[in-house]
Amino acid sequence: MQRSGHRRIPQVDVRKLDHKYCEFVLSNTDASAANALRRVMLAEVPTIAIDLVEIEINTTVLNDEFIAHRLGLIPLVSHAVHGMKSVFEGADEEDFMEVELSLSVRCMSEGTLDVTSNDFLLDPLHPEVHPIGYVPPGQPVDRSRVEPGILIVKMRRGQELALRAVARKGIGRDHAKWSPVATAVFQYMPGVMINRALMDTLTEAQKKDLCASDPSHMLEYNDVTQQVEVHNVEAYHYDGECLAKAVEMKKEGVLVIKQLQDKFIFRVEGTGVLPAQDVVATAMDVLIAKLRNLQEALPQDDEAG
Amino acid sequence: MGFLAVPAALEELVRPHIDSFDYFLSEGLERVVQELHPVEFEHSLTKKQYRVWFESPVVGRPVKDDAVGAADKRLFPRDCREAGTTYKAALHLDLVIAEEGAPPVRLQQRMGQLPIMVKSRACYLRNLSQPQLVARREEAVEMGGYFICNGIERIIRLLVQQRRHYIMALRRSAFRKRGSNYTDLGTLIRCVRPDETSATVRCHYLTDGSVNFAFAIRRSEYFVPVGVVLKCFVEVSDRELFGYLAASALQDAEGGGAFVAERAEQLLRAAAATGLRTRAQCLEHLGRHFRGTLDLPARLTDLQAGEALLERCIFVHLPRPAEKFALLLVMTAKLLALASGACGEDNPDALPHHEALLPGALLAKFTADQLASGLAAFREQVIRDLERAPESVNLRDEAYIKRAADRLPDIGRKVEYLLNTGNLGTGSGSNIDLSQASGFTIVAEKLNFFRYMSHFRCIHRGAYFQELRTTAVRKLLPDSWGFMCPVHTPDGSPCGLLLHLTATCRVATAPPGEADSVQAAIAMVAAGLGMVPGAPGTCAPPPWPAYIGVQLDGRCIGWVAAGRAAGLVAHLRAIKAARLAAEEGPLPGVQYADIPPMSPEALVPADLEVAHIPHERGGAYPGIFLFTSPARLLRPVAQLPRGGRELIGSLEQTYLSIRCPDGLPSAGCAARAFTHAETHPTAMLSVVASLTPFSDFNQSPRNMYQCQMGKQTMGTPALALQYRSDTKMYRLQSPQTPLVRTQRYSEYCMDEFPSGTNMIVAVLAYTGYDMEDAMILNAAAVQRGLAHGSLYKTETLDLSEDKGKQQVFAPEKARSPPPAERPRGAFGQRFPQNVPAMPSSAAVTGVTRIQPQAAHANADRVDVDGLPHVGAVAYPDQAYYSALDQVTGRYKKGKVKGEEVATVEQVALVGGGRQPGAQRANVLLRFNRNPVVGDKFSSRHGQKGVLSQLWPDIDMPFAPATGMRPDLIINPHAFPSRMTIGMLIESLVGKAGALQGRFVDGSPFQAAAGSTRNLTAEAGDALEAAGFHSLGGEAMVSGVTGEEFAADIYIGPVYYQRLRHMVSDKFQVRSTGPINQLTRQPVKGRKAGGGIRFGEMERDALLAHGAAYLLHDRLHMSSDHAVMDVCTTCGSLLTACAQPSTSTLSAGYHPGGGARGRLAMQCVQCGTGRHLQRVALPYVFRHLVTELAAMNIKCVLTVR
Repeated sequence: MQRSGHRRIPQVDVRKLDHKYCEFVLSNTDASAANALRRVMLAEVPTIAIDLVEIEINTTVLNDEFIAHRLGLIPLVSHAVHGMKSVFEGADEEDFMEVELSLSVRCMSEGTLDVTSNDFLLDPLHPEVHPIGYVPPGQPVDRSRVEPGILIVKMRRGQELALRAVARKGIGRDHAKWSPVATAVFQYMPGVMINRALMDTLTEAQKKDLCASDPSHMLEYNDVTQQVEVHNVEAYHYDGECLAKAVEMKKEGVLVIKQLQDKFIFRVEGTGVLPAQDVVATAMDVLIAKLRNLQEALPQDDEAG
Repeated sequence: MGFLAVPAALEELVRPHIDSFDYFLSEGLERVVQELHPVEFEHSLTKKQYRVWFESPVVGRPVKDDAVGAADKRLFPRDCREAGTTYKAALHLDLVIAEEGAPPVRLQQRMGQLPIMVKSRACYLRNLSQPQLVARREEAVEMGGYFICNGIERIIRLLVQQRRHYIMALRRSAFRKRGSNYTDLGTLIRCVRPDETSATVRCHYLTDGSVNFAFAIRRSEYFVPVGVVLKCFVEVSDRELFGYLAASALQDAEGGGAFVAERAEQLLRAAAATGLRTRAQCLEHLGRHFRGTLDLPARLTDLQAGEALLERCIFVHLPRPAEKFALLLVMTAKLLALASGACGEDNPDALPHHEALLPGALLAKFTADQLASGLAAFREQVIRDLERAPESVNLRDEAYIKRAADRLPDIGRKVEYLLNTGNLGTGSGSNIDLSQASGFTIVAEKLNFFRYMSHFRCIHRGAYFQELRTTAVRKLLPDSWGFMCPVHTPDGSPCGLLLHLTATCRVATAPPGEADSVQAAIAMVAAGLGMVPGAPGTCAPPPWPAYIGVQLDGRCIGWVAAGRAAGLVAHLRAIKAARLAAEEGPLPGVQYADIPPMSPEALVPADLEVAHIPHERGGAYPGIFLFTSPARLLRPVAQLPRGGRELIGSLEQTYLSIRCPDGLPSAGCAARAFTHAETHPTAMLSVVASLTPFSDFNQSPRNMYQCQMGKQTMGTPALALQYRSDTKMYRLQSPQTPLVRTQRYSEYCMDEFPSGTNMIVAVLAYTGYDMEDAMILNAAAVQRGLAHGSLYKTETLDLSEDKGKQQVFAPEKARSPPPAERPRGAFGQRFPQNVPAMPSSAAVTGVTRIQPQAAHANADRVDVDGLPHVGAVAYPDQAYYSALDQVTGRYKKGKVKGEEVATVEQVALVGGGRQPGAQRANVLLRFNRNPVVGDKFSSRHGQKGVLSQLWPDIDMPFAPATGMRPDLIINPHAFPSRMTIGMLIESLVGKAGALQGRFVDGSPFQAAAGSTRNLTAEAGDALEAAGFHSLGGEAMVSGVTGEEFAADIYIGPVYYQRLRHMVSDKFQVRSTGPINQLTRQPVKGRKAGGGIRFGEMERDALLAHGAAYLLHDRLHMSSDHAVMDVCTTCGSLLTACAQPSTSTLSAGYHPGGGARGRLAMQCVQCGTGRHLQRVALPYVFRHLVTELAAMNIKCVLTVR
């Protein structure tokens, strides 16, 4: 649908990327699109999490529901999610819908025993679905190098926990445990314009004062050029302190700060369940699928107009 | 690991209770027995006199009755809690019977079992370390101070009483009702015997200027001219008396001397009118009149009877008549001073004139009364036996004594009744000088630690004042500063009556040991400091105001020149401070007075109260009043300039100049310097009040609300949850320690019992769901476990309660395979369940699945022993245990009550029953109480709100700089009118603390305590350093639109409490349901599944809106809608009757046989059914018509 002749082509410019973190600049689009992407990353990228727990023995101090709830929140490596179907999508019994983990720990020693995510026994059919940082039980562990696993419950002598846990595919909108990210957030790119003519009327001390007034240290006074320069524009958090300083100096307008309405810095912090890149990509896919759904649902005759 | 004791700060909180009970166990009981008057009687045959009394009380330690063999016989509190029994130990007394001229016979008598206070000296938990307590299945920080009665922890609540041994001048209109010529003026003194029983006596001022003395015997008042009473004590002439009285007048220009002389003459005239002149005459007169009332033995002469009256009823705290005489002179002098205006009246509602009724004192009074009536009953029994069969009465025969002693009361049971109900019980109370007969005990609810702790610190003004319509008693008077917390009092009916002691307030629990020598020592010290020893009645008192009197515990011990009084008092204070330092360890760098070890100074108690009331015309009656007695409220202050600590009492405090840390530099005027200083600005707060951070920034009522809400918070009630059987307990699943806490927080180990969650709170109006004190929670945060909690209920299953049945726990035999259908709730809805796995999935079919073997019914819940499985889930109305009646072979099924799904947390068998086999079990049921819309939350600043929405995470506003979404959104309108700035500061400094990874001290009055830190500025700097705005605001973006808000949003962590008021306990809804049989209208009450009354005013509202259909629905369709037949010819509603139609008759009666057998409706009056019309009417109308018919009133309906 091209109502106007102008069509924006959004651009993604990835600035930082590793397994858990992704930072990119989305430009040439508007806030609604950016927000849609944020919302989808938070709530609609499917992952795998424990959804059904069958407790056989629990003589620990924590009650069944509490343990079940804690298990649900353990992040499971979810690469396999793409091949899975959720309980709502499942059509026939052949579908890959469930991964079964089990846990059976008994404390035989004096002192406290930590039951962690490393005590899980994985589904032999799907060993790729496991808690993050998982080291299989019995494997020699170098405590100094490996993360100790996610604590589930602590036990005293004689206590026992045996359970089966069924992990399923799901999305964060149904329950926060399926959310693939710790946070996914965008920020408007600030646009800072310096009125050079007005700025030149300031004394050096005033310029320095102006730079110091901003707590985010966005402005910097360059001793060589004797100019105020925009140093770290993204750090600016719209507190208006430097603008207030300018007003105080009776130099209103020396700085103009606006939010750019078409440029967004995205920061995605994954939980390790999915690579951050994967989260963004899947979110795009979900968004596109949604749009396609919408397009299909719209009356066809509209296309003629 | 060293000896890890229970923190001293916690033990200090309950000290008044435990020390007082300890005193009762050791000396208190002994004193009670000593003070008891022996009963006397004469043997009708032998004519010998007998005296009977009690001696040597012994309280044992709690033991198990049914311990077998070498088993540990000790009974521990935990056993009692779980078994629902009482923690008590045997009480033994020696019954001594003395025959005239023969050695007394002594018989040890068991007087039942006395309930024992936990951690008292008779309790095994005393002085245990924390690991030892845990091994005994107690809290690690168990404080004790309560009794366990039938498994319930109960406390004897402190009560306010009138201060003992202090003469009060009162103006009471009720005094006028005493007689025709009585005025409203009187003086009054409450005297307490060593066994804590008390007697109050008064002097009344009469219109003719004379004075009458009043005393009470068994609640009846008797009045005697004061002149007569004065003459009873010592041999004294009228002239001498006149001299004493006249000399006691205020010698100033106003002519007070003449006034008093005139009145003294008048009262001597009144006494002379009785014709009694000598001491013997007066005593005989009184003895003659009161020997019957006092039930004195016949062998006493009237003179002796009179002496007995003086001893038992008048100034009972003083043993010697001369001392009584002196005190009565002072009492009369004060009354005349009041009448002449030389002194003012005392306020009976002010704390200086109060003391506390301690548990030990109440028990002492109570047992004294019970023992006295027991002795009387014993005597009556013997006398009855003597009348019936005198020869059988042999008081040297143990068997006979044992039989007669059966009439002695079971003291233990009586005390248990007192503890269980809080009532003194029938019969008693009339002899106890208390203003109320009930309401002495309360349950120590372990809802959370705040509530539990404040039970021990609360002090009630008395039940009498609760009904009083005047509010003067509820007023917060400046006198109570430092003793009573001004913040911590409930609102509503107990406001101002139920107060709480400040954290530093102590209560003197016992008189000094060797009381006589201590009092002599104090008198000696005072004499050494310029006091002229002597009392009125021994010499003419020196003139007032040049000299003022000195009283010690209600005994006149001398005078001191007004100019030397201040020096005397200062010296006494120095001694007190040194004594306190000797007892509790000196403060570093403080110079204390030097006290030689064997000197009388070394005997002065540290808690001696030195109230110096200087002369001031129209002020309180001057004097130096010294107190060593128990039950006084005390608190430590610092002495100036040395800085040593001194314990001051409430009467003492009124006349001291105590500097507040942020007060004026001088005490009002230059001439008066401060003599004392507060130890800390928070010394005026109770424990609960001092846990509110930054309470000094809040509007004061908000702090009061927080004191209430802190006590209703769901938190951690106890750590030994599995060894308790409280009926109802709330528990927060993952509580946190607050980021911002006060110093007292750690002092009182609040981290052992955390009760809230640090939530990220954004202050903004968002979505409209945060209007009117509602608040929005982030759904994702709740899904991750925020404020999750559960409710625990203990069901005590006791098979022996069903009388006449022989039952055992046993599973019911399965009759048929269990139904596949899930149970339904009362409203037919299905309960939330997990999404079941596919029928073919491994979760259902797999071998590891636990398949309850259906050998017996309800096998998924009930185990083979008839008791529930631990972890079993039981829906409402489902059986979770079963018992077999061995006689009938029938099974009894125990069903889950209520509307909620229960999970079995724990099953504990309770032994000790007489029947073989398990008869009792405590089943702990758990109910899920995760946050739902309608639950109540509050911050620590009196800001409560109701959860209105669980808002999706993606729709919450977020901070673009950090990606933070708030856990909770609160409306900014909650702040301007309530002025809870403390909450805003908590948010700001909490945010800085969170960023720096440290806890923040939020103690109130930090600046006053000398801190120069500016917390908000520090927090601002920390925030700025971390890249945030220094004022706590942040730019935020709407999660729905992605657009930034115009304003910065104030956001930061605030500690939130979840209150116990939850929708699940309160919601009430029905469409149709149970109805009243008579009217067919819905019943009321949530429990019964009833409706909420839709009353007249509600009806009016709907009428006004013209909402006719709604009205019809509410008042008719959902209520008693009924269809009935009206006969249109006779207009009767009642005559329509079902008649078998003729065709049916011929064909025979076919019940339920379809159309053919249907009964036809017919009007019996008209004999036809043709004119019947079906109408819909409220059923209650038919009821009305029927009732009218019963009264012979016909009701005719016209049907159109």
